[in-house]
Amino acid sequence: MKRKSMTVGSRGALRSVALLATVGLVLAGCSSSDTASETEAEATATQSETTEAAAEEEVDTSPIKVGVLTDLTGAFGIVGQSNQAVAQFTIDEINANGGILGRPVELVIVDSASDPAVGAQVASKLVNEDQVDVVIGGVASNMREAIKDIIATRGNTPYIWPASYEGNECTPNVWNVGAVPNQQVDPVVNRLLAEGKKTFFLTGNDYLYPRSVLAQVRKVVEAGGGEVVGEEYVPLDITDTSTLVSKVLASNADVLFEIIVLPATAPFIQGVVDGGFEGEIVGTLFDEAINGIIGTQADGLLGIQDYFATIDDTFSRDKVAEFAAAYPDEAGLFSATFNAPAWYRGLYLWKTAVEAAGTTDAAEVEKTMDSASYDALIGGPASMVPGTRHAQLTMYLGQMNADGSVTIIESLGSVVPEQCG
Amino acid sequence: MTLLVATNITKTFGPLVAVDDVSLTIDSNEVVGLIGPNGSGKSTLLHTLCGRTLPDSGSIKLNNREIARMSPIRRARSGMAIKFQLARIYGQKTVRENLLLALQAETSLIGLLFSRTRHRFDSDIEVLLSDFGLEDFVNVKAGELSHGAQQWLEIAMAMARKPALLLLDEPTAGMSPAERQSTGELITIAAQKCGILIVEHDLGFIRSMCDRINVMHQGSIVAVGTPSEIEKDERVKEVYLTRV
Amino acid sequence: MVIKGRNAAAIAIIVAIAAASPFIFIFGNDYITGTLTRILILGLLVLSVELAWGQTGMFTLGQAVFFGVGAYSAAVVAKDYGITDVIAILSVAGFAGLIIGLLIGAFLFTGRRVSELYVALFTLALAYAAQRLATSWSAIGAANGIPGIPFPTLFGLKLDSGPILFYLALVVFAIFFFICLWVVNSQFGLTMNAIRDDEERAEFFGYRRQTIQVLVFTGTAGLAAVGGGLFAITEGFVSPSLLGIALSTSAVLWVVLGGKGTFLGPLLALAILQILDRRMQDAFPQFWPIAIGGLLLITIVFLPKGIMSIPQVLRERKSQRVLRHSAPIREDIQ
Ligand SMILES: Nc1ncnc2c1ncn2[C@@H]1O[C@H](COP(=O)(O)OP(=O)(O)OP(=O)(O)O)[C@@H](O)[C@H]1O
Ligand SMILES: [Mg+2]
Repeated sequence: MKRKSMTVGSRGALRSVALLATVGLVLAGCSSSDTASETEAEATATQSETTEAAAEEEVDTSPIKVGVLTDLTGAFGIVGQSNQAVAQFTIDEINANGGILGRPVELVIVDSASDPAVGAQVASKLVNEDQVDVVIGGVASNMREAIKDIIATRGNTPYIWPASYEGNECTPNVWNVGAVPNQQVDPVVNRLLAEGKKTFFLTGNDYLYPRSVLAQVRKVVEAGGGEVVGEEYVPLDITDTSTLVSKVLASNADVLFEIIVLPATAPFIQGVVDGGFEGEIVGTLFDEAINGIIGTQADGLLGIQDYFATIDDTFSRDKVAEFAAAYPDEAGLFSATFNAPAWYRGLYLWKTAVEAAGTTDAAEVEKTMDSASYDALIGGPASMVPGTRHAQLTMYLGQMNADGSVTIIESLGSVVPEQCG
Repeated sequence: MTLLVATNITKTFGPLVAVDDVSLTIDSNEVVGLIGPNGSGKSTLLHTLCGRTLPDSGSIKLNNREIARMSPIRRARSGMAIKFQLARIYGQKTVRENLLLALQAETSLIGLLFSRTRHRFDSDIEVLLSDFGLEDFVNVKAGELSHGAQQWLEIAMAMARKPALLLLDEPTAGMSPAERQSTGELITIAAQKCGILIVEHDLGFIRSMCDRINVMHQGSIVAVGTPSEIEKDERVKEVYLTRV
Repeated sequence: MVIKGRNAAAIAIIVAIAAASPFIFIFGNDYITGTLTRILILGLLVLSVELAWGQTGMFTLGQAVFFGVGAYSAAVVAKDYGITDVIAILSVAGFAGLIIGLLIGAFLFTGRRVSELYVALFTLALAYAAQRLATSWSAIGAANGIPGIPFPTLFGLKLDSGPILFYLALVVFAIFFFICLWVVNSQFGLTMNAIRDDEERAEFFGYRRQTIQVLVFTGTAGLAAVGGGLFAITEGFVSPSLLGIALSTSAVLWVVLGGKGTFLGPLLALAILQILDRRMQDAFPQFWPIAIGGLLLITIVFLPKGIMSIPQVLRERKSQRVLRHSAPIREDIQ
């Protein structure tokens, strides 16, 4: 009996599956960075000195586990790679100085792949399987939202959120060590108002962070006698910004406060600058990296951050130089918008809290972290403001230059977060 | 009684006039033959009748109802069934499943979901199996049947729901003389209950089966008549001599 | 319903999972429990792709849209309306999926027959659009999604621990798994296969092809949405990626790897990849996605019917070898 050929079109169908699935995979993973990663996940400094010292008494010398959760791949892969290097750098430094409570510190690194669903999975792994003593990480707010309950609430483990963000995160066991809107907005807006710049145009992408920051801007502007002459939100994937540019130009505002993220950042700012906008352009996402994105039109932009490479602080400069030597691939990426200072800060503040508590126990650290404070930090001293779960930070107002450097206009000193009060 | 009346059917593919102003009738219980050289438009005409393609112009009436623009589904539900030139059966499914598929086509969807007619059709399946000599293959995948058996299966499926009009496109292609003969017997039995239109190249077969024969050439019907009339027709001889 | 060998195996698997599951209380930590729970939930998505594509030939590359619709509607109902009863939440989620599925299914399938490729590209585009929409729609949290969804309740009892949520997922999965088996083994299932294998032929028998396709598509959307709803209440958050291309194509990938046309293969592929995935991703973050892509291509080339066909392929290899050896003899006979 002859065997008939397969059913209609099944080969063609399979070929289309192959094609389409590949297209899908490529689309889904297209932004995954291909920089070689330093996969030194197990780089625990085994420290003979500490072991010897502990031999006498029954002292716990088992390693303290720090869970690092960040986006090593996917849309934020490049940020995650930098985060991982900073975490490794900080922990190596802590280990070289005797660890925490005489115990070595070990990193457990997981990749949240820029996808909150993956983040939830790996967060659970860190807390439930690796049983880490603390988790630090997350790049975007949606990641924090997806993982915080798993870590802090269900997992009863301290969680450090090391990023500037929209604020209002007050969950027990969660510690926010990045800047919140009032820390980035108030000093610069008040300064501009004092200079007589009264009319503000606000614009950003239509999601939580820009809306929260710009709401703060409006509040401060109106309280200070200024006027908001325009407020516009555009979709996240917009690339044609011409309408927005003409609205900004027509407004003749003294100040443009903008939070337009990629891919529209460059066309928008270039459009505004080339269109002859005469006012100041301010944003919370401007630092050394902005030059690479928009080129010479970045000249003159105002940014406010917890760190710039040019701040007048030898400790910071030396540390960043050390980091650059240890991680040449990440050297140019030690920046405020990549959360590098916040990671360094968060780990040291937690170390201080653990030392004050004498234990890594979550309930004890919850008490001591509340008022943890540390001075030798990149970007300047920081301290948790008791009862707010947020950190008081040293902030800087900087002006971007055409060559990619930043001129520090003003060191604003320590700025208090208005949160969780 | 006239079952099907097709008038002035034209179907073009770009510049090619595949069916050119063709008219055709089929009475109930009549077996009508359609012959003609390769590419003369026989299959295309059948396709306009069953709804696989819509004619450019013309009217098709089945039991006095205009169906030229109806979907194949509605034509099937008004009692039309077709066996295609290349057997189109469900090769992955067993012979029994193929027959069940043909039989259950008008069972309500709820009925299908609750498998209400799964066993109600058992006796019909038995009859079809024995009529077409497929008893031994009942649980064989249709795709594994011999070429002839696949043709039979498709004819059996077309006849399963006792259609009013049966369209058969080359039912005996690739069959041995013995197989042809039994196919002929099956068609004769079926003809007692419905009108049949057969497209064939085998003139002997057509002559023995049909009450009336249409001869097609380059998209047109050039002769209609009883087998003996057609045999004498000069134009028919001409058409078949020019055949490649 | 006739229980054939294949169904018996399927039932055996469910029973085995159920029997083994008490060990979760003893040995499992939240991570293991969570992984198993997620496998069961994504299993519903896999079943829906298998029903639509594997059984009916509607090549959906956007099934996560319905999963996401279910997840978001569950999140909104639970968080904004304070309804936590699991039956209510899953009903709302499933119903939302049915409505969206009906709209899209009617658009795709009520007209003339469309090609598999058209359906695939349309649903792929849909997944892209849905994710974009969710990312910029501030009423549903935009890019941040909806976090902090409260634990579900059942008759007033709070279901708030990993193992209990696992059992919830197991029960829901088992119910829908058996429904799927029942549908596929019914006369309706036979008709679905007929439409998959040759939809035009089915029309010539008089099957209402459009109605059947729209119904099945709608049903699979509802099924995926129930999965999404379950995801929302067990994970406690939803985000735009749940509606997107990545999850949609993953679901198709599991079906292809496991073997389109079967239920067990795709579920097995899902389970294996989920268990491997996190470990491999953390061990080889750059290499693992490429490995998955390679695995997919290898499967399509060498195992077009997925891992479920491995025994069959091995058997055929063997008989081919025998044939090759005996070929000269056969020529002699002829
Ligand atoms: N879909 C189509 N598109 C374009 N041309 C077509 C199409 N279908 C048929 N044709 C052309 O129409 C003409 C008639 O074809 P048809 O298949 O009806 O012939 P036939 O009489 O059935 O031939 P045969 O005896 O070989 O089956 C042929 O020239 C064929 O190439
Ligand atoms: Mg023909």
